[in-house]
Amino acid sequence: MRILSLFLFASLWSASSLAQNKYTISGTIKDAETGEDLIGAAVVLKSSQGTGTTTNAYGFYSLSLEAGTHTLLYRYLGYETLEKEINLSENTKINMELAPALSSLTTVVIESEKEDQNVTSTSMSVTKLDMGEIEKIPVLFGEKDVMKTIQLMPGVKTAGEGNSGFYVRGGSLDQNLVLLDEAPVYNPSHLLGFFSVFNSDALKDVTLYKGGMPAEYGGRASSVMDIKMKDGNSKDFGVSGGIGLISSKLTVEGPIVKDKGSFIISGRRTYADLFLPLSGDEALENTSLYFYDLNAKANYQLNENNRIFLSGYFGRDKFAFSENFGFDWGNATGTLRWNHIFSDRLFSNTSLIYSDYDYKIAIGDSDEGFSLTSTINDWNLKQDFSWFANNNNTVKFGGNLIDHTFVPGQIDAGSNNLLGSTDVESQYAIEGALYVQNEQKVNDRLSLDYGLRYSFFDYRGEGTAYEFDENGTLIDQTEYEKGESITNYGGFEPRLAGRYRLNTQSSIKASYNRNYQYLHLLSNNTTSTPTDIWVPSSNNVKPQTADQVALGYFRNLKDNMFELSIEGYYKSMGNLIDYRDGANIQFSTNVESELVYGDGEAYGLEFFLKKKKGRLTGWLSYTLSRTLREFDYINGGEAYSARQDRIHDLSIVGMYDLTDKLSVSATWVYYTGDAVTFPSGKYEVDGQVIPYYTERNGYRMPDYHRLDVGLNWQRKKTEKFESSWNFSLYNAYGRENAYSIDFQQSEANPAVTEAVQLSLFKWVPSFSYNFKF
Amino acid sequence: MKHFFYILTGLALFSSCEKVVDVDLNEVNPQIVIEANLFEGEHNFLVKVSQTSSYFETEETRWLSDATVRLIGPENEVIVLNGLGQGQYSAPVLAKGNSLYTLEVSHDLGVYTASSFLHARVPVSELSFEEAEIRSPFGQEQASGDTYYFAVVRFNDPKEVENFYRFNLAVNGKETNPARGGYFLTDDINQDGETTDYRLRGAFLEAGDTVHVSLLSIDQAAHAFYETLGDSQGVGPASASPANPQNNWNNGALGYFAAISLDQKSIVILP
Repeated sequence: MRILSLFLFASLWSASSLAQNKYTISGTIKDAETGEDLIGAAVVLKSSQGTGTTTNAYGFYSLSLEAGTHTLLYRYLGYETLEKEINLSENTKINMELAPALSSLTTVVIESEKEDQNVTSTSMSVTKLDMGEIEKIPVLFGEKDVMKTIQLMPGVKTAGEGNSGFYVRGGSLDQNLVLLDEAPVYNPSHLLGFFSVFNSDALKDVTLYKGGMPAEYGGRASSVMDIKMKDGNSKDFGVSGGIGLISSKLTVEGPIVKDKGSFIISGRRTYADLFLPLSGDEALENTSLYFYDLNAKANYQLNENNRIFLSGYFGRDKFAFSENFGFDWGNATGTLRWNHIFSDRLFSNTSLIYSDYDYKIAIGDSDEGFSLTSTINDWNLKQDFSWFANNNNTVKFGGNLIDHTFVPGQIDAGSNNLLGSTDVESQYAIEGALYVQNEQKVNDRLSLDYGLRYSFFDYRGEGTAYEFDENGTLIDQTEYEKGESITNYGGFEPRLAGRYRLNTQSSIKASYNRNYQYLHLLSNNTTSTPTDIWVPSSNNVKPQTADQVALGYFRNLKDNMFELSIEGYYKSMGNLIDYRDGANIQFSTNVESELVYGDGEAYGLEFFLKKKKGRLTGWLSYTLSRTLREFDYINGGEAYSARQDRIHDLSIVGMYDLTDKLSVSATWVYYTGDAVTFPSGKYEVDGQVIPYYTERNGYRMPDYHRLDVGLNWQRKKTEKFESSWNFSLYNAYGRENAYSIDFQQSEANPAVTEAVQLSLFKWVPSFSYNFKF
Repeated sequence: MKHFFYILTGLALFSSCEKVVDVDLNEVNPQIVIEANLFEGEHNFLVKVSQTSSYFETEETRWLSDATVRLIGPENEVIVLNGLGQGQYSAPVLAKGNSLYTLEVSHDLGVYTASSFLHARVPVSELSFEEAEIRSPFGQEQASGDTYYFAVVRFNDPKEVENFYRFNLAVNGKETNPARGGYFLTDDINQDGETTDYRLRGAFLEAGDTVHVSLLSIDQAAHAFYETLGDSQGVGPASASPANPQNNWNNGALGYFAAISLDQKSIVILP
């Protein structure tokens, strides 16, 4: 650790001592039509294109050059490059606006990367989603979804049929940090996982880090999905929307003060349940089942050096059955940000972040019934600095402090209810981190990103600490006062990534990262449900850890038309959580007594080939991997396959432009069936036939494969109005993929035991109509 | 109107389908299964010994009739059970409350032992019934809003003893478990020494039903067996990895040995 920081400061000091007679050009780069900040846009010297910089998440850049005359190129893929000549004799501010390039063939696809980014960037194991492609890829019910599109990438596996949840490189569902404008979203799914909470109309940038994540990110063991909302059009008012099979959405955006501030509000609601009364089934008539999302964001430039942003998300699922049963759940997040430019080389962002997830079940009327509420609630204060030390070193440093409150289950009973109101005790914790990292260009061939994060977690009162023996029996308990530390953890998380450029078309990259995770998701089930609860690390639950190394070869072919990458990784995970055999955690007052702890390892090879130009675009992604778990109390202590241990996982995505207005698309996915536990025998006790299990996850579900096809038809496109139709067919050849296989006594003949397979979604057609004016 | 058509077509096609499939399951070494209920008082103690079979086998249970079965009482007295054939073994036993019993089964497959503590009998002080409205939409054939009856068992939990209970319900002579699976089980962790009303809400009774309820006082191991057996039955798309129920046999034997003291009452549901 010490060596790392010495290295960092030595390299910065030596670099800055050479920086004589240099001046700094700084400013922002925006889209000329909408005023949206461009993230990752490049500013380079025309004479020496290796000298340059890129904009940060807020569109800010800073470049130091020697005094004199220079020609600068401002460029961003999908935009017209601008050339600017300057005579540098003092520190200068230059704000630029780039106009989208007009493509004759298709609507403009905004790709947030440089053309040869794949080869030149230091980062590996990173997937950036192209918001333009998401529009075209066919999906279930026609609801375009960033979390489903990301599952078509190597190293990312779906949580199941139609599910928006995903596993990254053998990690668990709860090991993904999902951030929306920096706020963690604790349950990013709607309707039992079939839809994600992210309305893609409101999103600007989606980046998934599968490994080698920069030190500014932390808190989850496996991955970071960083989602940034659009800022809103600061030039003109605009309305866009879509009408689909099961939902409709509408987005309104516009300037608050032209070129100084803008806002965006985007909403979505499903309405499939409005048609339930038509079914004629009395039980369904009084049922409601829907969700809605609301995204809102505003920003305002106070003056040259200060800008504020306010963004929020609110979404909820509601399920009600007659008047007597109600179940609703949802997330709320809010982010208040202040960008401040201290100097032309020091950029600061301060954020106050709020995040809340809760669910509520209400049964019966107010007198006799009861309700159960469970909540997790965060307040987070975060400070980040970017210091553009010189053209070869960009240093980021900062820290944050989160105040967590967990309400695992609060039961409010009506006055006549005999259950009585009970509270499962609330839990409290403080989580924080400090980090520093440097992006360093060592020479033309070698560049390094290295950083160190120190994270800590304090599980504190008011509360009770329980002690259990190895069978989960309570042996002791201690009361703690408000604010008193019950137990605390902390540790260094080194992050390292390097790129060595072999030639202009190819490079080799390597990375290492260590991550700690202090919050854990407990679930009775194999798929995510609204009643899964987050629990803090405590005297019993240790923080989960992950160490990962990765090595990759990156190559671009045919003038950057094709992008190829091959990555191998090995990940070792510690303090993973599972349940005792037969444990029931729902409504349990001492959930921790039902938990067991173990280790895991995952390794694999990822292959990705993408065609980026031409009428036909798309990609092929293949992952060969294993994911194993080892727990003392499960499977007799022997290592076993995790459920998501799918050995082969293949996705092929193709988009073809037939004409300027008409394009077709198709995706085909194939993966090895999940590892599951099936009975290897049966016996009879108490007059019942009981399955006999011999090993955990020793069997496989049938292999999964599916073809989806889609058609996009642009009806009109003028300055004032655009409209398009989108048709898709999910599971085009009607494969009956197994969702579950149950072993049971035959209903017709109880002496016979049989396996019954459940399949969902055989041929699901859908359409949507989209407009913009 | 055209949109309605599209939407309805969509909903109709968004359907799930269920079918019986062939699954290739491993052949594993058969495991011994021992089931025994020892009751308080004088009775004919019965032990059943069998073996696991392949999951899809349609033959009857494979009974093991060549075992030696011995019951060891609280004063180390040994009672050897007589083989009756068909895997059954029996002997007259006078079992006393507040005592530990051990069962030992010797067979070519191995020697297996389990111990169970026989709790003192806890009497049913009152059996009654209550009427309620059906509220929850899951797992019932009745529509919400209908009323139903359920039995209520009152008993006095003995103070400063860890008690575990199972309730056996027979409706019109037919054994009935909760509609959602599992068993009627409780313990005294939050109500030690209190007069307790246990509501058998999971079974839907109708006017005119004759209801017979037994209150079984069992030890922790037997309680855990029934609890985990109930959980492992709920296999479905959204359930945890299934596992064998926890039991008190050593050496990997399946089944259980439970020492039980019971009290019972009957009632007829009158509207």
